[in-house]
Amino acid sequence: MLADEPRTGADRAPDLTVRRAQQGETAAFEQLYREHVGRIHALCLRLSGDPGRAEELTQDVFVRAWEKLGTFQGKSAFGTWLHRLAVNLVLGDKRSEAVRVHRIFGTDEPEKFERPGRAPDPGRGMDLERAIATLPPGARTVFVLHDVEGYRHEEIARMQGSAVGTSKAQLHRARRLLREALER
Amino acid sequence: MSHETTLELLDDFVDGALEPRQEREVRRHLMQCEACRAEERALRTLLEHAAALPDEILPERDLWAEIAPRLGAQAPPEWAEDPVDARGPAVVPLRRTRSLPGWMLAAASVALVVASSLVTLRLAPGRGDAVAERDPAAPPAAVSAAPTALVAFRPAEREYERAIGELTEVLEERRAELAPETVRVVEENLEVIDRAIAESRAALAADPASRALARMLAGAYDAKLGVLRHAVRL
Repeated sequence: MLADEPRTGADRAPDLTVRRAQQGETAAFEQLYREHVGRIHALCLRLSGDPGRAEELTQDVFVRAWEKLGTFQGKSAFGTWLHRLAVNLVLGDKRSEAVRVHRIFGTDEPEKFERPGRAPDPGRGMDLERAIATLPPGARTVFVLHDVEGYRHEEIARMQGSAVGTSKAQLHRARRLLREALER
Repeated sequence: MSHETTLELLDDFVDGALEPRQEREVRRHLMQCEACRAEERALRTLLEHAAALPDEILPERDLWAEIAPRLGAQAPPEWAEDPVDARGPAVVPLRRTRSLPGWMLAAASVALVVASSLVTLRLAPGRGDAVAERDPAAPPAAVSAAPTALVAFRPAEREYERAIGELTEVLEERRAELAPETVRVVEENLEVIDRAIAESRAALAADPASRALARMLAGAYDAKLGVLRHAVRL
């Protein structure tokens, strides 16, 4: 599995835009927003499966990044730090949703009640982005993090507070459902 | 190895996550079973499509207008312990595909915006803060005691130049590892940005009080840093 290497000496060359943002310059933070919004929005869109929710989450990511900017120490690239913050925020949002499901359904396994976001249109081919959006939330999360973003099962399990076996099972389910949707 | 066991292990097999012994047994079964080979092909095709998804998807509208009011007037806190990376690795894995991303175009487009903005300022001398800073009542040769934008920018410019020098050295060391097309695109982009830097610097030297020109020059330097930083990671 590919992974970003820790920053080299060259990568540690000062990111002056980040420094200016850390000193409170919103114009500098806007530059960071414009540089990274495409990547962050893509992540939020694929994890949430909903364009409206993705825009809300994208905004929340950048607001959280502004609040946490003083904690960025430059040990990794800013984009790496921001991406990790986005994953944590979106997964936290999903855990909040799972708590609400538990209160309603009285189960620790909300995925039993998961349904695809919308029913696939029978007889019509579906491109992969749309197919990902139709996955049940748990399967969609693991597929996006593993097969799109490149995280390992151990990392996904740790971030979700679950077991590696659960992550693998969700991935298997996601791949099967996607192949079925795309082969129609 | 049985058909059913092979299918159970196929996900880990294509992910390269099997132990050597199991991998050999799966390969042996695949050589003999067309149905399982078809499953493997379909799975790999799906993963290729997933890897080819775009790195970036811009929102349909500009979200900055809604983000900016939420930032508040308070500056972010100073250095502190990093709770974001308290768990898990501090790195984000690379996407599986490494096609030339849109950041190169974005960096060059920043330079073009700088260049076109410079033209706008030159052609419309009555606009911009370069004019706003001039006090019509003051004598033309009035000298301000406050540092000009040019003077204030010089320490930052030294930092930029030092960072660019370091990154340029690394890029030169890795030049042989990059595809010729990649090198060409990087050099073309740097050329555009260097022209923008030179023009911004000349404009600021001619109008040293202009904060707008100083910001423009900083933007061009940021663009160059961005191109170099991404290029050395390719």
